[in-house]
Amino acid sequence: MALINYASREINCKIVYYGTGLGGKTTNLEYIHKQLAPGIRGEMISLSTETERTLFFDFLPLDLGSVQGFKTKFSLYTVPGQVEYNASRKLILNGVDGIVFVADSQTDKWQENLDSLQNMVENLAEYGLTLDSVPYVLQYNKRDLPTINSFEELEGGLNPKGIPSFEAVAMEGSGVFATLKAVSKAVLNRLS
Amino acid sequence: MFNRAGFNLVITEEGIRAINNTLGNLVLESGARAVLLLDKGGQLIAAQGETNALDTLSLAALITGSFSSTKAIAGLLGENEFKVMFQQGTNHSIFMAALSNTQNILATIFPNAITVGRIKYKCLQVLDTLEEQMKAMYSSTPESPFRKAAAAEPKINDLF
Ligand SMILES: Nc1nc2c(ncn2[C@@H]2O[C@H](COP(=O)(O)OP(=O)(O)O)[C@@H](O)[C@H]2O)c(=O)[nH]1
Ligand SMILES: [Mg+2]
Repeated sequence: MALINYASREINCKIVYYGTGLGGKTTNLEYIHKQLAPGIRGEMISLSTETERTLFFDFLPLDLGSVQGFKTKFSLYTVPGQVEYNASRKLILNGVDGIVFVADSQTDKWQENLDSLQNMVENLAEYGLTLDSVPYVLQYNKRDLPTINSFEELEGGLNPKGIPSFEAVAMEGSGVFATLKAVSKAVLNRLS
Repeated sequence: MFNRAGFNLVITEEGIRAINNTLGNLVLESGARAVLLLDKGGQLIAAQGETNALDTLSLAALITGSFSSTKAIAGLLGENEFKVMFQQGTNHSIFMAALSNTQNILATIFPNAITVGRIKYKCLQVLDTLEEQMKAMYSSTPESPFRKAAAAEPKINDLF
Protein backbone atom coordinates (compact mmCIF):
# COMPACT_ATOMS: atom_id res chain seq x y z
CA MET A 1 0.00 0.00 0.00
CA ALA A 2 1.81 3.07 -1.16
CA LEU A 3 1.07 6.22 0.78
CA ILE A 4 0.57 9.08 -1.63
CA ASN A 5 0.48 12.33 0.27
CA TYR A 6 -0.77 15.28 -1.74
CA ALA A 7 -0.37 17.62 1.21
CA SER A 8 3.35 17.05 1.80
CA ARG A 9 3.89 15.87 -1.81
CA GLU A 10 5.46 12.64 -0.67
CA ILE A 11 5.16 9.04 -1.73
CA ASN A 12 6.10 6.27 0.64
CA CYS A 13 6.49 2.66 -0.48
CA LYS A 14 7.34 -0.50 1.42
CA ILE A 15 9.78 -3.04 0.01
CA VAL A 16 10.27 -6.37 1.74
CA TYR A 17 13.31 -8.62 1.34
CA TYR A 18 12.06 -12.16 1.78
CA GLY A 19 13.80 -15.53 1.69
CA THR A 20 15.36 -18.36 3.60
CA GLY A 21 17.35 -17.75 6.81
CA LEU A 22 21.01 -16.79 6.28
CA GLY A 23 20.41 -16.16 2.58
CA GLY A 24 21.80 -12.62 2.72
CA LYS A 25 18.79 -10.32 3.17
CA THR A 26 20.30 -8.33 6.04
CA THR A 27 23.60 -8.19 4.13
CA ASN A 28 21.79 -6.51 1.21
CA LEU A 29 20.46 -3.77 3.50
CA GLU A 30 23.79 -3.35 5.23
CA TYR A 31 25.51 -2.84 1.90
CA ILE A 32 22.91 -0.32 0.74
CA HIS A 33 23.26 1.52 4.04
CA LYS A 34 27.04 1.57 3.74
CA GLN A 35 27.11 2.78 0.13
CA LEU A 36 24.50 5.53 0.17
CA ALA A 37 25.15 8.99 1.55
CA PRO A 38 23.43 9.81 4.86
CA GLY A 39 21.18 12.33 3.10
CA ILE A 40 19.72 9.57 0.95
CA ARG A 41 19.33 6.90 3.56
CA GLY A 42 18.27 7.04 7.18
CA GLU A 43 19.65 4.96 10.00
CA MET A 44 19.32 1.22 9.70
CA ILE A 45 17.52 -0.43 12.55
CA SER A 46 18.08 -4.12 13.19
CA LEU A 47 16.03 -5.95 15.74
CA SER A 48 18.20 -9.00 16.00
CA THR A 49 19.53 -11.56 18.43
CA GLU A 50 23.14 -11.60 19.60
CA THR A 51 23.93 -14.21 17.01
CA GLU A 52 23.08 -11.69 14.29
CA ARG A 53 20.17 -13.65 12.90
CA THR A 54 17.19 -11.42 12.35
CA LEU A 55 14.71 -11.94 15.12
CA PHE A 56 12.08 -9.57 13.95
CA PHE A 57 13.11 -7.30 11.13
CA ASP A 58 15.63 -4.87 9.73
CA PHE A 59 14.44 -1.45 8.62
CA LEU A 60 16.17 1.03 6.35
CA PRO A 61 14.45 4.19 5.06
CA LEU A 62 15.62 5.58 1.70
CA ASP A 63 14.92 8.92 0.13
CA LEU A 64 14.94 8.55 -3.63
CA GLY A 65 14.61 12.25 -4.23
CA SER A 66 11.94 13.91 -6.25
CA VAL A 67 10.07 11.97 -8.90
CA GLN A 68 7.54 14.04 -10.84
CA GLY A 69 7.40 16.61 -8.08
CA PHE A 70 6.84 14.09 -5.31
CA LYS A 71 9.48 13.27 -2.71
CA THR A 72 9.76 9.53 -3.08
CA LYS A 73 10.66 7.48 -0.03
CA PHE A 74 11.13 3.74 0.25
CA SER A 75 11.16 1.78 3.47
CA LEU A 76 13.18 -1.42 3.12
CA TYR A 77 12.38 -4.29 5.47
CA THR A 78 13.78 -7.78 5.83
CA VAL A 79 11.91 -10.70 7.35
CA PRO A 80 13.42 -13.29 9.68
CA GLY A 81 14.06 -16.44 7.65
CA GLN A 82 13.82 -19.06 10.37
CA VAL A 83 10.83 -21.33 9.92
CA GLU A 84 9.60 -20.66 13.47
CA TYR A 85 9.19 -16.92 12.91
CA ASN A 86 6.33 -17.12 10.48
CA ALA A 87 4.13 -14.80 12.54
CA SER A 88 6.73 -12.03 12.14
CA ARG A 89 7.06 -12.66 8.43
CA LYS A 90 3.34 -12.37 7.98
CA LEU A 91 3.14 -9.05 9.85
CA ILE A 92 5.94 -7.54 7.87
CA LEU A 93 4.13 -8.26 4.61
CA ASN A 94 1.26 -6.04 5.76
CA GLY A 95 1.06 -3.16 3.29
CA VAL A 96 3.91 -4.40 1.08
CA ASP A 97 4.42 -2.63 -2.27
CA GLY A 98 7.30 -4.66 -3.67
CA ILE A 99 9.29 -7.78 -2.83
CA VAL A 100 12.86 -8.92 -3.34
CA PHE A 101 13.09 -12.68 -2.93
CA VAL A 102 16.67 -13.50 -1.91
CA ALA A 103 17.55 -17.10 -2.72
CA ASP A 104 20.67 -18.80 -1.37
CA SER A 105 22.39 -20.31 -4.42
CA GLN A 106 24.03 -23.15 -2.49
CA THR A 107 22.89 -26.59 -3.66
CA ASP A 108 21.99 -27.71 -0.14
CA LYS A 109 19.60 -24.74 0.16
CA TRP A 110 17.56 -25.74 -2.88
CA GLN A 111 14.59 -27.11 -0.96
CA GLU A 112 14.70 -24.32 1.63
CA ASN A 113 14.42 -21.73 -1.16
CA LEU A 114 11.41 -23.47 -2.64
CA ASP A 115 9.79 -23.78 0.78
CA SER A 116 10.41 -20.12 1.55
CA LEU A 117 8.89 -19.01 -1.76
CA GLN A 118 5.86 -21.19 -1.06
CA ASN A 119 5.61 -19.75 2.45
CA MET A 120 5.71 -16.23 0.98
CA VAL A 121 2.88 -17.06 -1.43
CA GLU A 122 0.80 -18.39 1.49
CA ASN A 123 1.49 -15.35 3.65
CA LEU A 124 0.66 -12.96 0.81
CA ALA A 125 -2.63 -14.78 0.33
CA GLU A 126 -3.60 -13.81 3.87
CA TYR A 127 -3.65 -10.22 2.65
CA GLY A 128 -5.44 -11.12 -0.55
CA LEU A 129 -2.23 -10.70 -2.55
CA THR A 130 -0.58 -12.94 -5.14
CA LEU A 131 2.73 -12.87 -6.97
CA ASP A 132 0.84 -11.45 -9.93
CA SER A 133 -0.45 -8.51 -7.94
CA VAL A 134 2.73 -7.50 -6.08
CA PRO A 135 5.79 -6.40 -8.05
CA TYR A 136 8.71 -8.65 -7.17
CA VAL A 137 12.20 -9.52 -8.33
CA LEU A 138 14.55 -12.41 -7.57
CA GLN A 139 18.11 -12.35 -6.34
CA TYR A 140 20.35 -15.43 -6.48
CA ASN A 141 22.87 -14.67 -3.79
CA LYS A 142 26.21 -16.16 -2.74
CA ARG A 143 27.45 -16.68 -6.30
CA ASP A 144 30.99 -16.65 -4.90
CA LEU A 145 30.61 -19.98 -3.14
CA PRO A 146 31.87 -23.23 -4.73
CA THR A 147 28.87 -25.54 -4.33
CA ILE A 148 26.03 -23.67 -5.99
CA ASN A 149 23.26 -24.35 -8.47
CA SER A 150 23.68 -22.87 -11.92
CA PHE A 151 21.74 -19.76 -12.89
CA GLU A 152 19.60 -21.88 -15.23
CA GLU A 153 18.77 -24.38 -12.50
CA LEU A 154 17.70 -21.60 -10.13
CA GLU A 155 15.62 -19.98 -12.85
CA GLY A 156 13.95 -23.32 -13.52
CA GLY A 157 13.09 -23.86 -9.87
CA LEU A 158 12.21 -20.37 -8.68
CA ASN A 159 11.31 -18.29 -11.70
CA PRO A 160 8.68 -19.97 -13.87
CA LYS A 161 7.23 -16.57 -14.81
CA GLY A 162 10.51 -15.09 -15.97
CA ILE A 163 10.45 -12.02 -13.72
CA PRO A 164 13.65 -9.97 -13.44
CA SER A 165 16.36 -11.93 -11.62
CA PHE A 166 19.88 -11.04 -10.52
CA GLU A 167 22.98 -12.91 -9.51
CA ALA A 168 24.60 -11.41 -6.44
CA VAL A 169 27.41 -11.57 -3.94
CA ALA A 170 25.72 -9.38 -1.36
CA MET A 171 28.69 -9.55 0.97
CA GLU A 172 30.77 -7.73 -1.63
CA GLY A 173 27.86 -5.70 -2.98
CA SER A 174 27.70 -7.15 -6.43
CA GLY A 175 24.12 -7.30 -7.71
CA VAL A 176 22.73 -5.46 -4.69
CA PHE A 177 21.92 -2.17 -6.41
CA ALA A 178 20.82 -3.85 -9.64
CA THR A 179 18.24 -5.71 -7.55
CA LEU A 180 17.13 -2.61 -5.65
CA LYS A 181 16.85 -0.60 -8.83
CA ALA A 182 14.72 -3.27 -10.50
CA VAL A 183 12.28 -3.54 -7.62
CA SER A 184 12.08 0.26 -7.27
CA LYS A 185 11.23 0.61 -10.93
CA ALA A 186 8.65 -2.14 -10.74
CA VAL A 187 7.00 -0.46 -7.75
CA LEU A 188 6.97 3.00 -9.33
CA ASN A 189 5.65 1.55 -12.57
CA ARG A 190 2.80 0.01 -10.65
CA LEU A 191 1.91 3.44 -9.29
CA SER A 192 1.55 4.95 -12.71
CA MET B 1 -9.77 -4.08 1.33
CA PHE B 2 -6.72 -2.14 2.48
CA ASN B 3 -4.34 -4.65 1.05
CA ARG B 4 -6.18 -5.41 -2.11
CA ALA B 5 -3.79 -5.41 -5.01
CA GLY B 6 -2.85 -1.97 -6.17
CA PHE B 7 -4.55 -0.19 -3.31
CA ASN B 8 -2.83 3.03 -2.38
CA LEU B 9 -3.76 5.38 0.39
CA VAL B 10 -4.12 8.83 -1.05
CA ILE B 11 -3.75 11.58 1.50
CA THR B 12 -5.65 14.61 0.37
CA GLU B 13 -5.09 18.16 1.58
CA GLU B 14 -8.51 18.44 3.24
CA GLY B 15 -8.27 14.93 4.66
CA ILE B 16 -4.94 15.50 6.34
CA ARG B 17 -5.96 18.95 7.56
CA ALA B 18 -8.87 17.43 9.46
CA ILE B 19 -6.68 14.69 10.92
CA ASN B 20 -3.90 17.07 11.90
CA ASN B 21 -6.51 19.20 13.58
CA THR B 22 -7.73 16.27 15.66
CA LEU B 23 -4.18 15.22 16.53
CA GLY B 24 -3.12 18.80 17.31
CA ASN B 25 -6.03 19.22 19.70
CA LEU B 26 -5.15 15.94 21.34
CA VAL B 27 -1.61 17.20 21.98
CA LEU B 28 -2.93 20.45 23.45
CA GLU B 29 -5.59 18.89 25.64
CA SER B 30 -3.59 15.94 26.92
CA GLY B 31 -0.17 17.53 27.34
CA ALA B 32 1.39 14.77 25.23
CA ARG B 33 4.74 15.39 23.61
CA ALA B 34 3.68 14.00 20.26
CA VAL B 35 0.98 11.91 18.67
CA LEU B 36 1.36 9.74 15.60
CA LEU B 37 -1.29 8.19 13.42
CA LEU B 38 0.08 5.02 11.84
CA ASP B 39 -0.89 2.46 9.30
CA LYS B 40 -0.36 -1.13 10.42
CA GLY B 41 2.01 -1.65 7.54
CA GLY B 42 4.37 0.72 9.37
CA GLN B 43 3.62 3.90 7.43
CA LEU B 44 3.36 7.24 9.18
CA ILE B 45 0.14 8.94 8.14
CA ALA B 46 0.25 12.04 10.31
CA ALA B 47 2.06 13.41 13.34
CA GLN B 48 1.60 16.41 15.62
CA GLY B 49 3.54 17.79 18.56
CA GLU B 50 7.32 17.88 18.87
CA THR B 51 7.81 15.85 15.74
CA ASN B 52 11.06 17.50 14.68
CA ALA B 53 12.90 16.19 17.71
CA LEU B 54 11.78 12.63 16.96
CA ASP B 55 12.72 10.13 14.28
CA THR B 56 9.08 9.67 13.35
CA LEU B 57 9.77 7.35 10.41
CA SER B 58 11.64 4.82 12.54
CA LEU B 59 9.16 5.24 15.38
CA ALA B 60 6.36 4.43 12.96
CA ALA B 61 8.03 1.19 11.83
CA LEU B 62 8.96 0.08 15.34
CA ILE B 63 5.74 1.03 17.13
CA THR B 64 3.73 -0.76 14.48
CA GLY B 65 5.98 -3.79 14.86
CA SER B 66 5.67 -3.92 18.62
CA PHE B 67 1.93 -3.38 18.52
CA SER B 68 1.35 -6.00 15.85
CA SER B 69 3.61 -8.56 17.45
CA THR B 70 1.27 -8.87 20.42
CA LYS B 71 -1.40 -10.21 18.11
CA ALA B 72 -0.06 -13.73 18.64
CA ILE B 73 -0.37 -13.31 22.43
CA ALA B 74 -3.91 -12.04 22.00
CA GLY B 75 -4.64 -15.11 19.87
CA LEU B 76 -3.61 -17.41 22.72
CA LEU B 77 -6.24 -15.74 24.89
CA GLY B 78 -8.87 -16.09 22.22
CA GLU B 79 -8.70 -12.37 21.44
CA ASN B 80 -8.30 -11.07 17.90
CA GLU B 81 -5.89 -8.34 18.96
CA PHE B 82 -5.20 -6.09 21.91
CA LYS B 83 -6.92 -2.76 21.53
CA VAL B 84 -4.51 -0.73 23.60
CA MET B 85 -0.91 -1.10 24.67
CA PHE B 86 1.26 0.89 27.05
CA GLN B 87 5.04 1.10 27.32
CA GLN B 88 6.48 2.92 30.32
CA GLY B 89 9.96 4.42 30.40
CA THR B 90 11.76 6.39 33.07
CA ASN B 91 10.84 9.78 31.66
CA HIS B 92 8.57 9.09 28.72
CA SER B 93 5.94 6.56 27.90
CA ILE B 94 3.93 5.54 24.88
CA PHE B 95 0.26 4.78 24.80
CA MET B 96 -1.05 2.98 21.72
CA ALA B 97 -4.63 2.41 20.69
CA ALA B 98 -5.99 0.58 17.66
CA LEU B 99 -8.72 2.17 15.60
CA SER B 100 -11.57 -0.22 15.07
CA ASN B 101 -11.03 -0.13 11.30
CA THR B 102 -8.23 -2.69 11.96
CA GLN B 103 -5.76 -0.74 9.88
CA ASN B 104 -4.59 2.19 12.01
CA ILE B 105 -2.90 2.83 15.32
CA LEU B 106 -2.82 6.03 17.35
CA ALA B 107 0.42 6.33 19.30
CA THR B 108 0.89 9.01 21.96
CA ILE B 109 4.28 9.85 23.42
CA PHE B 110 4.03 11.65 26.73
CA PRO B 111 6.16 12.71 29.71
CA ASN B 112 5.59 10.70 32.87
CA ALA B 113 4.43 13.83 34.67
CA ILE B 114 1.09 13.14 33.01
CA THR B 115 -0.82 10.12 34.19
CA VAL B 116 -1.50 7.31 31.76
CA GLY B 117 -5.14 7.47 32.81
CA ARG B 118 -5.47 10.98 31.49
CA ILE B 119 -3.74 10.09 28.22
CA LYS B 120 -5.85 7.02 27.76
CA TYR B 121 -9.04 8.96 28.38
CA LYS B 122 -8.10 11.70 25.91
CA CYS B 123 -6.95 9.23 23.24
CA LEU B 124 -9.98 7.00 23.40
CA GLN B 125 -12.15 10.11 23.07
CA VAL B 126 -10.78 10.93 19.63
CA LEU B 127 -10.68 7.42 18.17
CA ASP B 128 -14.12 7.62 16.60
CA THR B 129 -13.37 10.98 15.03
CA LEU B 130 -10.10 9.68 13.58
CA GLU B 131 -11.88 6.61 12.34
CA GLU B 132 -14.35 8.78 10.40
CA GLN B 133 -11.58 10.97 9.06
CA MET B 134 -9.55 7.96 7.89
CA LYS B 135 -12.62 6.40 6.32
CA ALA B 136 -13.07 9.48 4.21
CA MET B 137 -9.50 9.15 2.96
CA TYR B 138 -9.59 5.42 2.38
CA SER B 139 -12.59 5.90 0.16
CA SER B 140 -11.15 8.76 -1.86
CA THR B 141 -10.37 7.78 -5.43
CA PRO B 142 -6.75 6.71 -5.65
CA GLU B 143 -5.03 8.68 -8.32
CA SER B 144 -1.35 8.41 -8.96
CA PRO B 145 0.80 11.43 -9.71
CA PHE B 146 3.01 9.14 -11.81
CA ARG B 147 1.20 9.30 -15.10
CA LYS B 148 4.25 8.45 -17.12
CA ALA B 149 6.49 5.97 -15.36
CA ALA B 150 9.19 6.51 -17.94
CA ALA B 151 9.90 9.87 -16.36
CA ALA B 152 10.69 8.15 -13.08
CA GLU B 153 13.42 6.01 -14.55
CA PRO B 154 16.19 8.51 -15.16
CA LYS B 155 15.93 9.60 -11.56
CA ILE B 156 16.36 6.06 -10.28
CA ASN B 157 19.21 5.46 -12.67
CA ASP B 158 20.96 8.54 -11.29
CA LEU B 159 20.60 7.41 -7.73
CA PHE B 160 21.96 3.91 -7.75
N1 LIG C 1 29.88 -16.24 0.79
C1 LIG C 1 28.89 -15.37 0.91
N2 LIG C 1 28.33 -15.13 2.11
C2 LIG C 1 27.34 -14.23 2.20
C3 LIG C 1 26.86 -13.52 1.07
N3 LIG C 1 25.88 -12.69 1.47
C4 LIG C 1 25.73 -12.87 2.79
N4 LIG C 1 26.61 -13.81 3.24
C5 LIG C 1 26.79 -14.29 4.62
O1 LIG C 1 25.70 -15.12 4.96
C6 LIG C 1 25.38 -14.98 6.33
C7 LIG C 1 23.90 -14.65 6.50
O2 LIG C 1 23.64 -13.39 5.94
P1 LIG C 1 22.40 -12.50 6.43
O3 LIG C 1 22.41 -11.28 5.60
O4 LIG C 1 22.45 -12.34 7.89
O5 LIG C 1 21.19 -13.44 6.05
P2 LIG C 1 19.64 -13.23 6.30
O6 LIG C 1 19.24 -14.24 7.33
O7 LIG C 1 18.98 -13.53 4.98
O8 LIG C 1 19.40 -11.83 6.75
C8 LIG C 1 26.29 -13.91 6.88
O9 LIG C 1 27.35 -14.53 7.53
C9 LIG C 1 26.75 -13.17 5.63
O10 LIG C 1 28.02 -12.61 5.80
C10 LIG C 1 27.48 -13.79 -0.19
O11 LIG C 1 27.13 -13.23 -1.22
N5 LIG C 1 28.47 -14.72 -0.21
MG1 LIG D 1 18.54 -11.15 8.52
